[in-house]
Amino acid sequence: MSIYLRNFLRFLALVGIQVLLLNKLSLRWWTSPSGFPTFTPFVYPLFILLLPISTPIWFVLISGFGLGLTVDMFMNTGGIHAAACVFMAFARMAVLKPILPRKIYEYKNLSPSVKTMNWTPFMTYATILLFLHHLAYLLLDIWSLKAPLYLVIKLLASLVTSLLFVALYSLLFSNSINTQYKD
Amino acid sequence: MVKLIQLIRQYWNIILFFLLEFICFRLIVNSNNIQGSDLLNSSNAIAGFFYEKQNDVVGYFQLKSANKDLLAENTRLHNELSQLKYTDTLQNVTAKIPIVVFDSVKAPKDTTLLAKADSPAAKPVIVQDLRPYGNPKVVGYASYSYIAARVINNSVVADRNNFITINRGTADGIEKDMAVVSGEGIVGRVAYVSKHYASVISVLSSRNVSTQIAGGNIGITNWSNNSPDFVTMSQVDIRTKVRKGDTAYTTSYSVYPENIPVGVVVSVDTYKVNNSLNLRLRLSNNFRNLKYVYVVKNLLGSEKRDLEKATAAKEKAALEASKKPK
Repeated sequence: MSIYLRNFLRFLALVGIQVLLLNKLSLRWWTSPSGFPTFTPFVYPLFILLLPISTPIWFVLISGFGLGLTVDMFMNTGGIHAAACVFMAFARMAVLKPILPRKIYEYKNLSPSVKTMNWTPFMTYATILLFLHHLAYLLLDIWSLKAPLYLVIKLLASLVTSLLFVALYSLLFSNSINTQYKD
Repeated sequence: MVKLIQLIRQYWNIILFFLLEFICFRLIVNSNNIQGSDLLNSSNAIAGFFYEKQNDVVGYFQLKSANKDLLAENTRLHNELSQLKYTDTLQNVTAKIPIVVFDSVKAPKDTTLLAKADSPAAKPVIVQDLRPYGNPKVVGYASYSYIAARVINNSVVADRNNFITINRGTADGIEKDMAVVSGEGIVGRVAYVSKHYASVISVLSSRNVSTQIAGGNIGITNWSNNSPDFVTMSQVDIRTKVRKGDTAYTTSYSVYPENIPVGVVVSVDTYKVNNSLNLRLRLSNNFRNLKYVYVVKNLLGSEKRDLEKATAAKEKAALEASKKPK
């Protein structure tokens, strides 16, 4: 499968999972019992996380914008997801550079994934970027700092569940996890 | 010039980043207007299609509870109808079809029947004709009609505006700003419409609703405490006697029809500063579990709107005329 087709299918799959499954989680009462803020895990930013390492930054930014707008359309958030995604896409290279052991141009068509990076670096990379995405999204959505505790609880609940789903996705959709990147 | 191009090439990514963020912020600001963009919302054909397909599958698992809810609503409506059928006073009656009244003063003058009854050979005939007689005249018209719709997407998680997508659109007679209610209480109002789908901005949003508590005391209800089960009713007169368990209803000032339940009072706070009560209401609708809703068409709405617009225009003209130096 060509790398373009693979990423396109991943885009469709992730938006589908996000919109048709994960957004419905907050409708179940047991996800937010007695006064706990309602939250949604966001798994669709994984598309930007998993773009090939050598992708030019302008393309990452534009694809993040398109991804955000698609999700905005489904969730009626009118641009908040797009703003958070563009922010995350802009921070991606800055986070990726110190985590990867070698120069960026040495990775030809490789994606940052569990397979190429191993579990700990990949999850660190995912945690930092998802934290930035969630923070940007929640700040834009709440648009006030009157209740910082509420923001923090909502952020942590979303982030932890998002990371769970990211790990689950990595387990399901990478054939041969045990192969580590060797030179 | 060459230096400028070099500069742009050097900072191209940062320029693109700021450009895209600027577009995003413009979109966010636009979406917060009452007249938002009609393109970027779940009422468009693609989002509506996927949501409807998903709902077709998931809906089967909710059939039992949906049936139960509809049965309960049906029972309630039957009870209400039986009360209306045997009403004595025909004042202030509104119904879907024109209610027709007949003169009941005139006595029946069916002489042929009377003559028949007098003859001994004839069997006894019931003389009194129970059918209405006299000239019909119209007492009242319905001011609302209802369009049933299925909820195909629902959200309670957003902090500012929550939206519901329904499977009815302009093809079914739905317009912007129509009220949406369910069997239990108010749901929201239509924000965007496409041909076959509509997005409804629910009560769980920054839009206020005019509500009244028993005794006709009016307040403003808005969603502020970020829980999908509660709303706050503020600016209620401090002299109002309110108890826990009282129900709040909509008033005729709002887009909703009058006397649709909003919620039940769970706690009362007194604000001495502005002499008002703040009531915390538990919403009578379970917003996590909406299945079927009704879109309310106000048949006299356009007339009311036109009148209000004309009055406002006249007032404005009068104000401008008074400002002019003589």
